[in-house]
Amino acid sequence: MGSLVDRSLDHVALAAPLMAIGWVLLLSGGRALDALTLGEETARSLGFALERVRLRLILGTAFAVGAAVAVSGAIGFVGLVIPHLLRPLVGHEPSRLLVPSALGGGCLVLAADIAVRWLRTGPELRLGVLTALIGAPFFLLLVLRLRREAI
Amino acid sequence: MLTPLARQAFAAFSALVTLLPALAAAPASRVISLNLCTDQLVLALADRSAIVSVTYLARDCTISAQCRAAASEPINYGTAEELVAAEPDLVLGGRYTTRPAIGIARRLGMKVLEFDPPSSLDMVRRQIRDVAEALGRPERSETMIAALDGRLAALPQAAPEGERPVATVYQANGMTVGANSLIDAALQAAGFDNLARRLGLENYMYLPLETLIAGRPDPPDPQYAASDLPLAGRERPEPSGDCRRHRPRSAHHRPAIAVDLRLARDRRRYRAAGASAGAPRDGTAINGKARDGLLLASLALLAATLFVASALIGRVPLAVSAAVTDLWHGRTSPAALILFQLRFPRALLGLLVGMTLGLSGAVMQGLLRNPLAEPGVLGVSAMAAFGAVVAFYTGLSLRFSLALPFGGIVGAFLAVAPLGSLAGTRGSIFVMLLAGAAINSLAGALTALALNLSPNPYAA
Repeated sequence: MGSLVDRSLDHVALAAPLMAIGWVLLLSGGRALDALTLGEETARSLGFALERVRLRLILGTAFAVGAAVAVSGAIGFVGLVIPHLLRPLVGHEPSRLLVPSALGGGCLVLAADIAVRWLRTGPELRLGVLTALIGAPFFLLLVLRLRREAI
Repeated sequence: MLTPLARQAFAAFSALVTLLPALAAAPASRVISLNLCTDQLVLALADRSAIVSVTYLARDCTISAQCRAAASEPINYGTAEELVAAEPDLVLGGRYTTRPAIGIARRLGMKVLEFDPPSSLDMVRRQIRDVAEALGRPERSETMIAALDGRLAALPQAAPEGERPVATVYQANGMTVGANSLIDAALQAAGFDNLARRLGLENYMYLPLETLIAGRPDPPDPQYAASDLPLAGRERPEPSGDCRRHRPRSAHHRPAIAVDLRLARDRRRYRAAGASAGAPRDGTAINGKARDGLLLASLALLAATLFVASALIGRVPLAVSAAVTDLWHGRTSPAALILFQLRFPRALLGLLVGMTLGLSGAVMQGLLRNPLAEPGVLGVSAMAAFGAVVAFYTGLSLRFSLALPFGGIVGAFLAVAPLGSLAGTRGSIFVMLLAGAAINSLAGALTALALNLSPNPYAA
């Protein structure tokens, strides 16, 4: 489970460049994602080379998430919950969701990291444990709501 | 099988670490101990006034022989922040514990002594001498060693080889302790024949239950049989020389989340959304751009506030203005070090990691057109965790401190190779999801394999 205890600037120096590459790749795919909401065929007919878009986005995820997990360990549910929390505020176009999701994710992890220090549980609670403890019930709620909508 | 007996034998050694009265004026020494075993030696050998802090584990009477002495001493949790704030001139730690804190102590030029978990009585004697020497109290080590040897000599004469009662230590997860270990030395000294040693096992090893039964350990002495200690499945390791607690755990893999594919419905929903792209989506969104701007501004403000708050909160109270002044003038005070070398990277990493997770989550949900997608769905993070686990359990992380994140990055790229080759083809997005599920379970299996093969009894 993830944690941010005793990380140094070396960790930042190792991860930040890879994350930056990943972010550029991920943010460049916004328009294509909008088109993709219309379906793969439509997106293709709109002139998006879907194979290349997919490759770019997957490479971007690998760079950014790989670097993040490498320095902090797995911090679950942030990537799942944040877009859902923000989607009602920005609407369903993926491109408009990207930057708010990034900022929201930053806020959530910082807040959770403050919480594990503030809770003073003796040896610190692991950050990944806290996000999963809060995230898992939220995930359940989400699934239940989806079920209701589907019926 | 005779856990209580072995425990008893070991208690003899733990009890040897007796507290000595302060003989002379305090040497000009500020000692911090970051490891349970060095705690015991510091509490026994150092002047009380020289002890800055010992670990919180030293107060736990189930694992610490000196728990009563530790009760009146300040404690630490082995974090770098506490270490820097304490400004010690001597740092004692274990070879495998609190690596980040010890790395920072070295970088700051503090005197650091690292100790391997002792594997023999001679090694115990040597470590007692080393610690006493470093504390400037060499004479106390001889007193302590004499007490140890006196107790060993007072043990009843062991039966001749071949007639000794057979015993072994059987710990949680079926782990036993064979030759070349302190526990084996304790069993020998107490007059037992260690079954694990006879079976050719060394150090911490797995002992199958069948082998244990076939080895016919002698029934426990009724004197100890009444003990309330269960024979196996104890959650805590024996109090014996377990210097490996407090060891940073590496990232464990997360099980893959089964993704519920609701493509048809989502397509309907997204189509409705996409049809109105560029136009106000609903009545309240009269000006989408302005609202987006407001949202972005407030999120950015919140992130900045949390970033500052993150730098202000920590284990030790910090005079922030003094730290900033020191930093400005290029002075290296503990406060400046804590703020800039420990809390700033932590807050920065929190922000960067969170942004990465949020962004890639949004991208994945868009790309896979699935509301339950998240960054881990392609297996990249599971493979990164596997890479870090390998770096940890092969001992690479002891050689250089960034081996762990480096291993993680290598792991992540192992996952990209198959994903990249799939993404370039005209296959459907389902193929990617399936490949992600496969990579996730493969990474999980590989992580379990690495933990399985590792010699650490607490890993499984």
